Amino acid sequence: MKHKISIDTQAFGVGILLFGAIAWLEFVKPSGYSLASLTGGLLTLDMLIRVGLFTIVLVGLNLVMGYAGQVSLGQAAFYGMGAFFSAILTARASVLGIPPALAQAWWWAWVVMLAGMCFVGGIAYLVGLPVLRLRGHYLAMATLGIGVVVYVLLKENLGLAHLNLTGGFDGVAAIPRLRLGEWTIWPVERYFVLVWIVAMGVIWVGLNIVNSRYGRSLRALHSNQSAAESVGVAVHRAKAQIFALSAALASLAGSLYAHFQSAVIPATFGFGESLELVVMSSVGGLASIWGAPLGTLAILLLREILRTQLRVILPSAKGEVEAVAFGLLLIVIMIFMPEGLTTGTLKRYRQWRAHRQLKKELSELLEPLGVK
Amino acid sequence: MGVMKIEWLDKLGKRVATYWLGIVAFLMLLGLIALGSRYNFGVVEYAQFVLDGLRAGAIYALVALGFVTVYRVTGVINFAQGAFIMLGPMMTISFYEQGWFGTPALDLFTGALLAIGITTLIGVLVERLALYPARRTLPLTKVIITIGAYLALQGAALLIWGPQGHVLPAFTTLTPADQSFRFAGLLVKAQSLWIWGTTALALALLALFFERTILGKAMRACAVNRMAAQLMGIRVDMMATLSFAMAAILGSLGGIVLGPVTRPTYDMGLDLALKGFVAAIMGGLVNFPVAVVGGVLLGVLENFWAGVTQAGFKDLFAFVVLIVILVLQPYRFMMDSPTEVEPT
Amino acid sequence: MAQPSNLLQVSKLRKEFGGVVALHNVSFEVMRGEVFAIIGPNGAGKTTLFNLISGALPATAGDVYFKGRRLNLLSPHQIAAQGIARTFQTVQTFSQLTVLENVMVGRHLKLSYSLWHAALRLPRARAEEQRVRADALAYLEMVGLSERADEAAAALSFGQQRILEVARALALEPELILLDEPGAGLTQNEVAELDRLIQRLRERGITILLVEHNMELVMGIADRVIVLDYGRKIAEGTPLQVQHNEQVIAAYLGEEKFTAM
Repeated sequence: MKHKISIDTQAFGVGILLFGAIAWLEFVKPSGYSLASLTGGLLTLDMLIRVGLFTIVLVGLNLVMGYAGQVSLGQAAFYGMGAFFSAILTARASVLGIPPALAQAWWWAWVVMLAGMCFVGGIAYLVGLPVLRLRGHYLAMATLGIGVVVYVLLKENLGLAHLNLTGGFDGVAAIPRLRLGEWTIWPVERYFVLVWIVAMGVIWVGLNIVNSRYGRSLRALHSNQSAAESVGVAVHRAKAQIFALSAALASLAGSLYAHFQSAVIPATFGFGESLELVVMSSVGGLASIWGAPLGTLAILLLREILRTQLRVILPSAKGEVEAVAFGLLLIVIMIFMPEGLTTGTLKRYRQWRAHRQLKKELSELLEPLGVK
Repeated sequence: MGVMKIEWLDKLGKRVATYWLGIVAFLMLLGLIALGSRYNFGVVEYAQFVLDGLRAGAIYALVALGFVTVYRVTGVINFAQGAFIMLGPMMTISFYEQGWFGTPALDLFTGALLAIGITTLIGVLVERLALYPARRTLPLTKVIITIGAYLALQGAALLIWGPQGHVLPAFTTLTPADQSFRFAGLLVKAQSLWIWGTTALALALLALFFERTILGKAMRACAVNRMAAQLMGIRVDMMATLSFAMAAILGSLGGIVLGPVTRPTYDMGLDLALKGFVAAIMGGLVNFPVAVVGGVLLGVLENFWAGVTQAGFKDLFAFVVLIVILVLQPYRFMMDSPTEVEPT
Repeated sequence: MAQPSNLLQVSKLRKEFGGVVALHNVSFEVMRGEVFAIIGPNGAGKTTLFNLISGALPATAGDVYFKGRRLNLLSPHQIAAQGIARTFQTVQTFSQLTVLENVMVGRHLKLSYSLWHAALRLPRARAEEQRVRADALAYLEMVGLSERADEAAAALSFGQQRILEVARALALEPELILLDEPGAGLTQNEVAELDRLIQRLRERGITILLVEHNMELVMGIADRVIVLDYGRKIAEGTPLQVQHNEQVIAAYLGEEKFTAM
């Protein structure tokens, strides 16, 4: 147990160093270098902000899928709910009759963000209590259903066409930037710092939960539900709780996304997005908090490389080839590394080390006998 | 205390469970008619809803059969089903308009047969190349693999056919705008007859296959108990491949007969697949007849719903039903029979 | 109801699966501090009885009282919170967790820090975790598994996993512990160790309800025994009385374990 925590702490240190280096690079721009110019345009701040946002969502999703073993194919719904909650209550505050003095205060957006987390988390808890009693495929499909229902409601103005709250297909635009007092968190460098401070905080919270009684009982009920019940773990409540937490985190990321893009449309939060989240989570490694940023980065980079490289190889190719290649790569990764990059690599490494150890012991044993 | 009460409840529960599909459907119908009363719909309008709903329902049923076939044999939920549904009509259109690599344009029937054949081959390849190598992984991993297959095939379709909608001519008239006729005051599209006929035929053939042929019986054996089937000398992995081939046939067939009443696009499959899945899950993913009845009911009720509410809410219906069904879990009671599949 | 003399009272408990009656109106009482054994041929309904008491299955009819409180409608985790721990016939450890973590999960009910405390790693959470870790180690020490505390539970031998399950159940500090065939599949040495462990539990004042096939073990440690056959209670008494009951002998006729006694 002890060494596990120290690995986490080390990784945390490395993460903070990396984050600091990038922030320094972008703010100071030493001799004109920037992240984009150093990586040939592959890594941009824009992209790293996306990685940060997805990391926040995926830490929650990994707790639900990897640790508690409960599949969620509707996580984008909570992401979208957060985004629209913030968008509507800031950009459409007047429609709802919120006095401008309130809606234009700098702290309003932050209050809305917190309220959104509570709201979305609360809904997820209520929905999760009955739905998370399902297992396996049934659970996957129920969560998929939740995702589609939320998506349709967003697309259809929540059924309140006269208020035009979600803006239908066109979504909500002109979402204000976040501010701290008079200080606006924009341009993009500032937003990058904000998103990653939040993401680091969420990773830290995720690690804490994994190493607490909550994480332990989640892993226990994943491993053996009836045994977990027999020692007093209220499994259904535990599952609903972690589902609610993951939804609240998704909502937080959604709010940050809304203020980043300053416009949101329902199409961003459909079934495809939920799938992408599951894919990122699986590729990173389900039962791993660090899989969240790694899986996101891997998938986003993969997309980017596919897009640029395929253009070089096939000049006539359009963006569609990327989708084909992405699907195929996904299959290949799942066949050869079903546990995902982090867990998979760790396992390979342990096997390799055990193998080497065995070899060494064997040779020590055999050497005196003159056998090579 | 409690003894009598529990037994009484239990009995009632079982009775409700037996007819749950009918009871739920009936209650929903009443609710929908109540909703529709503000529009002053008459019997004819409602009959028209039913008729149009039956068209979609038949397709959902076909798709649901594909899901059930694969799930029973392999324990996998096959998202690639969505791609099969789309590939059928898209390829048929290509063959009908441009022919097969240099041949003159094919007639609709040959084109459709060829399209089904190629889709079947793709289905087999998906199983052999993508799922077979991962047969020892978790169900979730397999589901993600089928998602990958779906994305790849959909991407390929986008590459080949572009994002726009295409036109598959109606089977009887060979014109893009299908003719319809009036029957007892109802508007019937000619293509609907093709859809119902094909579905009925496919059902009959499927029933015949499972009841009368050795292969069909072997597949059923795999579904009941994979281990035992293997010990009896049935090649379970071959059955898995076969189930994918059958799903591909059912899916592409459904897509093709539906083609003329929609405008087939590269992304038409997912929606139909999800609805077909809702139908399949009414029978706990293992029950063929319930899946068919479920598909038809879903089509009809959904159309009712679309008729009496905001048009954009149409898709809501299937998924609200899905969640309600899953949470109430009535299929639990129906799976007392040995058809239950333990996904490994 | 005043504080009853019995710890556990099972009255007319009945369980049907479909049309099959697995347990046929079984009644008995377990007194505080005794070792109470349930024996019977395979398929007699012993494990079903355990599953009904622990709430893993709902009873068709009949009642279970623990310290005078009716348990019927409680779910398994609530029954565990009442002070009833159990082990399983087929070993059910948390195979991916470490040995220590397995026991720590058993201490779940003794922890009270909230999700907030956990998420922010507040001092209270840390202090409680530390205490629970020490407690869990003490239980492992007691059953002799402390040296393997950091290994995955799946790495233990079958017999050790059984012992681990007992340790995990003990971590609940139960008043009543249900042991479902703890001796099955153990070696001679391991059975002897198990025997000693059960004696120690008894000394700690824990009431033990035991399902066991190993008659030597049962007859050595049980204070009272009931015998089930085809879901019916056919005998009740001290081990000696039961051994000489004709119905019991008939039920076991041909079963080597018993005639060998």
